Amino acid sequence: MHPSLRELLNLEQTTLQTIGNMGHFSEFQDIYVKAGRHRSIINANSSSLDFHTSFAMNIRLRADKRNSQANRSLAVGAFIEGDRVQDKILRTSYSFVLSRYDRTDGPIIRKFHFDYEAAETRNVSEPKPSIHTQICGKLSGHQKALGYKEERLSGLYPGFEKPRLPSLPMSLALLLDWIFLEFQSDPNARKIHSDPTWKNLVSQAEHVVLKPYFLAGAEYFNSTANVGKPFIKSKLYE
Amino acid sequence: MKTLSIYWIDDESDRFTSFVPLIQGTIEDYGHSATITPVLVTDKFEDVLKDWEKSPPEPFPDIFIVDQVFSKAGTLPFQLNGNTSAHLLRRTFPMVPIVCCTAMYDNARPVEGDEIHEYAEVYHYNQLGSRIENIFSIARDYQILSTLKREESLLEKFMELAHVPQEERGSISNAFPLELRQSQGLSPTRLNELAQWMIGSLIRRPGFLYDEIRVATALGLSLGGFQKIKKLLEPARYRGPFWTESEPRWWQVELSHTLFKIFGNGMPDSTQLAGRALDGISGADYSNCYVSGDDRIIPDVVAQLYPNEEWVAVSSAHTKPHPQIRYLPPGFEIPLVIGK
Repeated sequence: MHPSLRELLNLEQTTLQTIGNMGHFSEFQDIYVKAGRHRSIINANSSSLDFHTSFAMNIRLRADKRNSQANRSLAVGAFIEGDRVQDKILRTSYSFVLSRYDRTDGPIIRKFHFDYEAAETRNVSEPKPSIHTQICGKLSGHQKALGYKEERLSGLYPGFEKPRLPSLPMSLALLLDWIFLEFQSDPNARKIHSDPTWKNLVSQAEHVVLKPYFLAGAEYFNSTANVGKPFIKSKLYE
Repeated sequence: MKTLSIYWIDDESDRFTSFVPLIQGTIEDYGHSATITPVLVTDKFEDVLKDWEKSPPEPFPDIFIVDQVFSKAGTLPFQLNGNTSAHLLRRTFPMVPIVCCTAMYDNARPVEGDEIHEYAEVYHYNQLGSRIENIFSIARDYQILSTLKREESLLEKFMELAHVPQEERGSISNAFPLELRQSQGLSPTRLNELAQWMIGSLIRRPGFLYDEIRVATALGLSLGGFQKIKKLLEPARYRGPFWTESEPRWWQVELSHTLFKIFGNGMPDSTQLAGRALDGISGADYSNCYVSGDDRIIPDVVAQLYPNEEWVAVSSAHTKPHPQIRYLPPGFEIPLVIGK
């Protein structure tokens, strides 16, 4: 159901390398500059990843007045923790924060993280899907370092950790691609999204991250032994 | 190595007196020998070039050092200067490198690219004392590059000569100048362009290769601490064309491989923590964030004290991209400056 640690880290290494090499990303300067240092962030011997960036995009929403400025700051993060010896992913967390304005210390209008926790790392007394989306949650140290403020998050009730939504596995490329799909008012996002190099990367990410998930799902539903055993409860709230 | 034959072409004879002994002595310090033939540029310089065209000088040159501006030479045809002389020299000596030593940068006006494109590298006279090894390495390794056969791919030959790590070959291929990537064999122009790219981009720009302060910072160490364990990183050292001891470089991707060979699966998560865990390293050898000075923070980048030239180890939280550089070819890192 999940890629190995090495497969996921290799994918993220390729993702950062691609971002650092694609000229269109230079308009999203922070992620472009940081990804250019990919060799110091992740390499063939890494057993973890902790990457965080913030950049501005043109994100026009229905509530925006016509002709008003629509640049908004967003933050993206990728965290992976694994067992190098067993080549196993223990935890991942891909985060997304969207500010109302083009600065990180302004009001936060959306905050999610897309998490995975291996069964052996979870608190057995608190059932939760192994792969889930959590709405809001507290600000991480990295997000605070990027300038986000706790008081700007209070309207989203960060202390309320539930419900968690069962969701699809994630990677940095898939997260960014989702952002570009959602916010097509940004011309650079459109250029990146239609670039063949980017499309190949996203396809590769889907093969690494989504394919094992869907194959495991198909196998589950094809097995007569699982008739009467709900998939979400059995496989996700394992 | 045979005795290096250097020809110095300059319109000021005082420079020969000042610099010839310095160059000779420094090259002898490297265990080699050099003869330096001064060629004073006068209004008869055109005749010198014609004579060389008919019959090369003895000993045959291994490298030309050329002044750029011949202001003291009197009237020269077509206002001949160092760069245009270099173009003519290249027609007669296609596989001999040419470098420029000039006071030209003293002028307020910016240097135009077409004034220097014939040179493998350009130095100010003030720098010459510290650049002699660079001149030596250019003379040494131009000859290695010039052995490329007509049917060989320039890119593949470069990968082999530079010992490019396998995992960087795709990226370096993308960064390689397009006209060179498509070349078979080696013309004099392509040879010079390859040398310029290797010296000016591959070696000098951080990305594929890192200099001492960047390697030290990647290992969580001060420059002093790094000197204690430098030998351990020899497997990552760049020893391809134009390598020098005075400006050592290391393949960035090879740093973690080298550390992994030392630590195995017990390797700490970051190269900074791994560097600090090496035998012989103590807390006094750790790097320090230039801005905060907080020893709980491990500096993760090197940034410039812009507009000064000095580079320091610092936490990336205190940096911003260089204000004048928005984009670089793939594989190279946008320089950072202290800023936040």
